[in-house]
Amino acid sequence: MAVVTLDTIGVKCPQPVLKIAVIAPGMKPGDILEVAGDCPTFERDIRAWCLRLHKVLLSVREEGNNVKKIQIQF
Amino acid sequence: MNTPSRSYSATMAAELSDVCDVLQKIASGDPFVRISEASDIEILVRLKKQVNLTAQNLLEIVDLSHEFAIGLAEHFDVLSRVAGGDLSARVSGSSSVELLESLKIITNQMIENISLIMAKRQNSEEKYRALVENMQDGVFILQGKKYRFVNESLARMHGYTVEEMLEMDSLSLVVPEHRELVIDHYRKLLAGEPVEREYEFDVLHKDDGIRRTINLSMSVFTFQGKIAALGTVKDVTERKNAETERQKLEHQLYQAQKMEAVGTLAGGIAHDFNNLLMGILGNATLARMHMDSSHPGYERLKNIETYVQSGAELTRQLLGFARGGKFEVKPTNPNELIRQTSEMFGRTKKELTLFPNLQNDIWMIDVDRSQIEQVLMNMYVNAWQAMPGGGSLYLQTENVILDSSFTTVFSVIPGKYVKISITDTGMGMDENVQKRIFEPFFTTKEKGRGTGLGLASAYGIIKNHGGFINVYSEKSKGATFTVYIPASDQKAGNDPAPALPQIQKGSGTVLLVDDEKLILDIGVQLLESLGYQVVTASNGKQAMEIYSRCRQQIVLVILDMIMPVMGGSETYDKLKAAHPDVRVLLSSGYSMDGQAADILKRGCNGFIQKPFNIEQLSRKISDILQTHPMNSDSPL
Repeated sequence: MAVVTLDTIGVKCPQPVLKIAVIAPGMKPGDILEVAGDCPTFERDIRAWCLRLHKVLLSVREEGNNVKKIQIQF
Repeated sequence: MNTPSRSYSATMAAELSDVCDVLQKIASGDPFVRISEASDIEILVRLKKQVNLTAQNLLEIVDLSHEFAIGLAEHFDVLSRVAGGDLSARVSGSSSVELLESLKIITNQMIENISLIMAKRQNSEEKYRALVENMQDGVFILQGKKYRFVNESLARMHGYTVEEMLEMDSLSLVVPEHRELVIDHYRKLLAGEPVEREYEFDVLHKDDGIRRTINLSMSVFTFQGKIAALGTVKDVTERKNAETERQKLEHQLYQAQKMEAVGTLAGGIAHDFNNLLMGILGNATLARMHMDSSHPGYERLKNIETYVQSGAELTRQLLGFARGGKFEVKPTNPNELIRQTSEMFGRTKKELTLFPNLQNDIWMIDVDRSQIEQVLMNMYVNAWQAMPGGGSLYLQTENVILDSSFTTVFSVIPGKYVKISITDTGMGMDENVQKRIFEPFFTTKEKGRGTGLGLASAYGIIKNHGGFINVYSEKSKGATFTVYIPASDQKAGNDPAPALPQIQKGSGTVLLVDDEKLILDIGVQLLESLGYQVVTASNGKQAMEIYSRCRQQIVLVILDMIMPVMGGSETYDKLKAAHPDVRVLLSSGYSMDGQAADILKRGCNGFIQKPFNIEQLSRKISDILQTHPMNSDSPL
């Protein structure tokens, strides 16, 4: 089980979701993707993406300075 | 003009500062921020309303872009899975964006179509695989010397794995002596030259010393852009072995049939010859018996008896003789052939009446006498078998001149021929049987009675002599076999004439039964010289009558085997049935097998083979009379 990180700090939504979409085909079942972002709609977008593609949103962590780290399990 | 108060200015500044903060958040991408529109200053109320309206518009644009992004991400995910081979992936999420909904329908439809195409292809591939991998025949694709594909059967045929064969030079599997043939065939095939589609050659099995014969069928096609050969291979080793075995068997059967015909011939000759020897031996013995041993002729007569014995030995050898197939062509008189063979045959088949009609001045024929005798004997036997209850056999010879309109059909040369016709009054044949009558192994006889080679060999022999055989028959109306043999210009040669080799007296009457006058004459004298009285009968029926009349005087019956009216076998059975204590000594020119052995098993007292000398005869009679005394109390 691999943990992959993706930094989208400073990137405006919906670009973080599009970046996750590109990475997703390379992820195996059970792998975890940890995405960092600070866009105001970042969390909302990730949640919507997880819901649509049937992925598990493991956690959302506030990192300060509006930065959040979200873990997604494939 | 009113001057703004200090409090107005301060309020304005504070509220504008709030507006600035909100705008800053909007600028950072937060579409959810809003500002209270309440203010005492009308222009600020209007400003705040515009700010909130802008935030609301931004929110709608952000929502739309996110909708697109999520939809696009899902499509990307689904297409990635399809590309990876997961044809179960489908776009499932709903969207308020019409374009995304349409894209979803098209994408899913496309995946459905791909799934169908793939399923068909897979189905087709499975069928192809099942067919190629499970077929008994080997299948391969050959490019140059290398196999591009081989199925399991082919690999198994050679004892290799598929992988090993794909690495091999295909020619290395062919036995060295057939490689030239295979190379030549392959070259011609690729060059488009006319070549047999199928041919056979031997290949090597991986295990040393094992050769297999294969039948290869090849065609040319294009494989991966290059010319290639597609081949199917049958392992015909078993068939080939069976064919060889069958040929061997055919040859054996042919030999057996030939031996049978020669055996019949030899048996007939031996019978006749033995009767002749009997006459010579008897006369010599009788002459010697009336002579003093000091007489100059005495030793010569003894010599004659010795030579006769040697001659008898020769006939015994003749019975076991089988001709080796040497082809000795001599000018031969066909009438003579017919006469000799038919007389010999007629003697053993008394139920047939023979009607020879032989042309005078018949042309000679250049033939291997023994082979033509075999042909004639085969035809007589066939005719006899077609007339189980007896019948007539018409034998005819005729000189004929055949022109091309007649000979072309039979692929022979026009000219002078001797025509030999053999007609029986038997059961005949229908058209279907006639068509196949000369085929090897074709027989209408029950199993064990015929090999189906008689007429086939007759056909072959006549063909070898440049002639042909024709058959005409109707069901239940007999059959005519007509043999045409080219006439010879030569005269017949002369065959060399055949070369020739303690007494216990008794009393009483002996009944001597034989159809040959010669045998009766000499037999009477021999028996009389031994002290017996003799009565004679020339057939079984007569013998029965005499025995019934004079049974009190007759101490022994000497019975010949082959006779007209009633043969030896039937006569014995009737005599035995009517007079159980009758003493019978069988006498025959044939050896003691077949019929004679059967009669002995049925209780006959003894057997003596012609020619016999006086000593042998006297001992035989004496033995029987001593070991089987007559029952004087017998009511018969």
